Amino acid sequence: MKIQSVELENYRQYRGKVAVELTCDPTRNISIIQGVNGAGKTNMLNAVNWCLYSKEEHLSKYDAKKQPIINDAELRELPEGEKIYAQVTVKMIDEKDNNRFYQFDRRIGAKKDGNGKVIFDSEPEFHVYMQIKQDIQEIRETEMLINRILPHGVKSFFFFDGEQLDEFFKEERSTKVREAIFDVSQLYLLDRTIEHFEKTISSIRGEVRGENPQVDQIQEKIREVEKGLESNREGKKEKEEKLREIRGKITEIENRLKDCSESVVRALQNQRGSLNTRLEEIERRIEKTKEQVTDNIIETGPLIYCFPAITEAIVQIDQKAEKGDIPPKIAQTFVKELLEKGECICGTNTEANIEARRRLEELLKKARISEIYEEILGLKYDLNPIKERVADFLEEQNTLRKNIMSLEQEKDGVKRELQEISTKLQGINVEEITNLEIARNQLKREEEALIREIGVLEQRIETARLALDRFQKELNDELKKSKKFAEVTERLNLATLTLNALVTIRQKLIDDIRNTIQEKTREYFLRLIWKKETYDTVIIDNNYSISVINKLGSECLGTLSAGERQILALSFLAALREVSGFDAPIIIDTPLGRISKEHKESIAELLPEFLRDAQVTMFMTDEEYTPRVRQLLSRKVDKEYELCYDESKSQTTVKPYGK
Amino acid sequence: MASPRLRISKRILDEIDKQIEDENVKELARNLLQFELEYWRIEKPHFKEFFNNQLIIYCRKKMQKS
Repeated sequence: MKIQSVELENYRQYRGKVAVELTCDPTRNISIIQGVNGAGKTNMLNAVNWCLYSKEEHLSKYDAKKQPIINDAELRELPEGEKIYAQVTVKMIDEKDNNRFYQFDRRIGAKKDGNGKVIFDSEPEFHVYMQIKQDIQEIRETEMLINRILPHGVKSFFFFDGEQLDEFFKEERSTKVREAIFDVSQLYLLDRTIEHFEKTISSIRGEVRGENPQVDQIQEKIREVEKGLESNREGKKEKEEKLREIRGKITEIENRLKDCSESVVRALQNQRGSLNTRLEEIERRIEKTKEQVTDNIIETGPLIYCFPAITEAIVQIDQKAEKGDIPPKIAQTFVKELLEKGECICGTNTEANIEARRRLEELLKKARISEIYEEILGLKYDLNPIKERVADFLEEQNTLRKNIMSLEQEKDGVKRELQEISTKLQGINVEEITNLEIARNQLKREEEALIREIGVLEQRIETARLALDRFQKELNDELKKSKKFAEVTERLNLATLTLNALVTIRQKLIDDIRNTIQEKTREYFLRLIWKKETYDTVIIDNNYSISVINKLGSECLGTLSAGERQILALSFLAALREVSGFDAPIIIDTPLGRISKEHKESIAELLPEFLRDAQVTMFMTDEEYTPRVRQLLSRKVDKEYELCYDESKSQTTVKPYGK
Repeated sequence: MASPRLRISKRILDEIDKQIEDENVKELARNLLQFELEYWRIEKPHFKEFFNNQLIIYCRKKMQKS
């Protein structure tokens, strides 16, 4: 889906009609709209958002207060009793659906009453038209269409303000990353279907109530477990919500302490920031080492169970070898050959001499046993490495346990240092600081308690799920006994089969998508970032927490500069877009806004490559769209415009770039 | 007035194709997801009724097949 044009009429500083055509060329896929600060770049992004979603999310505080949505000058000159409109029209084309054309119109009116007071319409009007063959028809379910093109929850990864990107990873981020991943991959859709499926299954089971006492008894157990499961799930949701809220408040307090006018407070807060990063890193390493211990046990466990038997087998083999039973003294093939030939080694004809033949046959039997001994001897060489592996395992486990202990000690040390900082902050003779610190500590305690409670609830949910599985099997077995329940059993079986498949698909998608986004973010970040020797990798863990690891193996997200955070966010958004499958246009306001001058050019060179399959519109300041950046982008740019703001008329006009 | 049709992501559809062998179950899963997609946030449908009807339809199909 591509935007063909954006048309504005009397929208904020755009007086009269202004139209911008965007590129639809797949090879020259970039349009540039350049303008100095305040020329109206962000308001053009707002216009697109307002038209499609009825929201102006990037509106500056100044515009929100000083400038009405309908052009100021037009409103001033509006005669009494007459009506005027601010209108934005976005025309789009779906090349993947036979070049189907869509037009989105949103407008809001206002008129002046007898006292010269401007009265705005309470709601804007919104109309969407779609071309079907030769006809243009109005669409009824506009929200549905917008959801298909670019759902509201996903749009901030396609239409965004580059300067605000560095905020993306500043605050509590695991929720944001999880929500972004779930939104772009429709995982909520699977969640909802699974939830509804569970409720449907429960209602189907209700159909056989009162038919058989045994069935009723199992149903009663299932209902009890389901009730507990539901209440634990609800409880978990509530606690997670509360946890998000508390984490938000903690971040807010920490930011206030970081920006405090007292230098000692700022220093302590910064020190706390670094210690928290270190604490997170230690916890990550403890977790990883514990995983290694478990993996080792799983891998070597069966060998440990067999260890006494293996040792005994080796002793027995050694004893046999010592006695001379092994290796074999008679070769089976040699005796066989003598028998086939009919002549013993001493020259006796064994065909004629039955006694000689019998002796040879006895020798052959012994030779067969000897062959087995030979294999046993070979086995010793297979068993020895296993024995060594078990010995190595014990040594490795000891080392890993020691590592965990030393990391735990280090963790305690960092925690003590954090406690000291907190005591110092509370002791500072400024009431506001003391109160903030007390509030923060209280919130931290609540946070810890909530994490524990969520863990307990998760455990209960898992136990209930296992019990439910068991009872469901019991119920199915009971239902199978009677023909009367055949139809219900069939339905339950089909429902359970489909539900299980959806649960598996959901988990597989979650893992695949998280891994792919991690890989892509890492790839883009490491290519875009200028400190190539500093950073090693980017990790998105199972809890959707994002970390940047430096070459020394330490987590360093908290110490990234604003420009580096912007690069990380850009990389993450490019990865999300690629994984999302939404063929939506991308609009970026000031993409290089926070990037220092010397790095703008290298990013301008790489950015088109990451966004190669999409229609891209970039709003750039003159400081961003330098002659060198323009030259670097030239192969990809098809349309270039310049926004000109006339201060005397408070009006922005659009003209082709450089003319 | 015309109405557009929402699409389930290709990734989910591909995964359904890969993970589910039975054509009946595949079709049933797709129908239920499509239903959830279209009625999400727009109105509150009687999902139990829809889900149950779908299960009855696909059970019959399965029985006819066998």
